Amino acid sequence: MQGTPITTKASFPTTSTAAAARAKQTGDDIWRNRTDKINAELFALTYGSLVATLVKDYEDYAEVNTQLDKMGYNIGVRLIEEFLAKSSLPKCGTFVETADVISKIGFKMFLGITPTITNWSADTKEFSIIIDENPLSEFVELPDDALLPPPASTGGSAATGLWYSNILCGVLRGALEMVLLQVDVFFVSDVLRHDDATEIRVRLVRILDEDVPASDE
Amino acid sequence: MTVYSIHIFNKKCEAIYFKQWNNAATAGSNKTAAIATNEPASKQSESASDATNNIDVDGDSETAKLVYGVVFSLKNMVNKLSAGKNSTDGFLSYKTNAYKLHYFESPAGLKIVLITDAASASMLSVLRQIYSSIYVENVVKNPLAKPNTPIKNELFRGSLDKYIRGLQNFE
Repeated sequence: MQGTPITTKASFPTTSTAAAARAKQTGDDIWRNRTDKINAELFALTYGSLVATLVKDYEDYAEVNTQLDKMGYNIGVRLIEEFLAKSSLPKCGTFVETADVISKIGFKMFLGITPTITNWSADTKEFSIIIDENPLSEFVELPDDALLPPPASTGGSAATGLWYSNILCGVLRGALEMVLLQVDVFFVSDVLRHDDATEIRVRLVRILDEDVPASDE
Repeated sequence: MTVYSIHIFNKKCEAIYFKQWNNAATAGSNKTAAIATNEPASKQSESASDATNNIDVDGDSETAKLVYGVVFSLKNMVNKLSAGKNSTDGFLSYKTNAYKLHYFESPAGLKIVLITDAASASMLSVLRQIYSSIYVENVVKNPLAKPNTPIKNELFRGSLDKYIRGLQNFE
C-alpha cells in the first residue's frame, strides 16, 4: 500500500437525471437487494496492495498499466455474465443506451457508484465517464515519479505515468466485448494525478459480428 | 410433462455441456431417436445398457451439432421475419408432435437449449434460472473453470441435475 491515509470523503454525489430514471431505479434495486457487499476499506486496501506489488514487480508504470488492463479484461469477460444474470436486461438499442446502463447499473452494481456520462462525440461513438468518487483510490496518494511523464517524452503523455485505476478500463473493455461491442477504453485524467476529475474515455471501435458455427466441410 | 435433455453452447458455437434425462430415445421423442442414429454405435449401445437411463456426456457429438444448426437457423429466420419489430425476445421455442424445444440466449452469447415433451408450458423462467443461478454461480464465478471450455464442474452438474429433477414437470 502506498501513500498515506487521507480523511474519508463522506459526501455522496447525487446525480438524478429524470430521463433515465428507470435504469437508475434498476441499478439501485440490484445494489440494495442482490449484491454481496464487502467492506469498502478492505476492497480499497486490497486493490492498493495489488497495484503496489505490480509496481514492485515490473518497475515500469507503463507495464503496470498494461497488466492492470489485462487483469481487468479477464475480470470483465466473466463479470458481464453476472451483470446480465442479475439485471436480466435486454440488448441495448444504441450506444447511448449502453453508456447509460454502464453508469447507472454496471458501476452501481459492482462499485456502488453512479459516474456521470458526458462529453459525447458528435457521432455518439465516444463518451467520457466521470467518476466523482472512486472507491479504488480511497486512501491513495501517488509518489511523484508516478505522476509525471518521464522527461524524455514530450506530448502524448497519456500513456505514461501510473494510471492507478486502470483495471477499470480492462473490465469495461472485456465486458463490452462479450456483448459484441469492441471498444477502446483509457484514462484521460485522474484526481490522483492532481487533475480536476477522474475521467475514463470510451470509444466504440466497431460492433462485432456474432460468431457463426464452423462449417462441416 | 417430461424433461428430455439439455444442451449448452458457448459464444463460439461450441457445445460445452449436454445431459439427457428420462431416456429420451425410448420415451417417445422421435426426433432424438432419429438423431441418435447419427451417433457412434458405441455410444448408442452404452446408452441402451445404461440401467439408470442417465447418460451424461460432454458435447461435441453429432447431435449437438445438429441441434445447434437447427437453433441457429431458426433464430436467424425469426429475426429476419420480425426485422424492425420488437425483436428482443426473438426465437423462444418450437414444438412438434413429439417434443418441444426451448431456447434461451444471454446477450453475452451463451445459449441454452432444453428439450421437453410437447405439452410442456413455457420454460423461459426455468432457463433464465439455470443461467443466472446455476451457470453464472458455478461456472462463471469459478476461477478454475476456463471460459469457453466444456463444463466438467461437478458442482454445476450436481446443481443442474438437482434443479431439473426438482421441477414439478420433470417426469
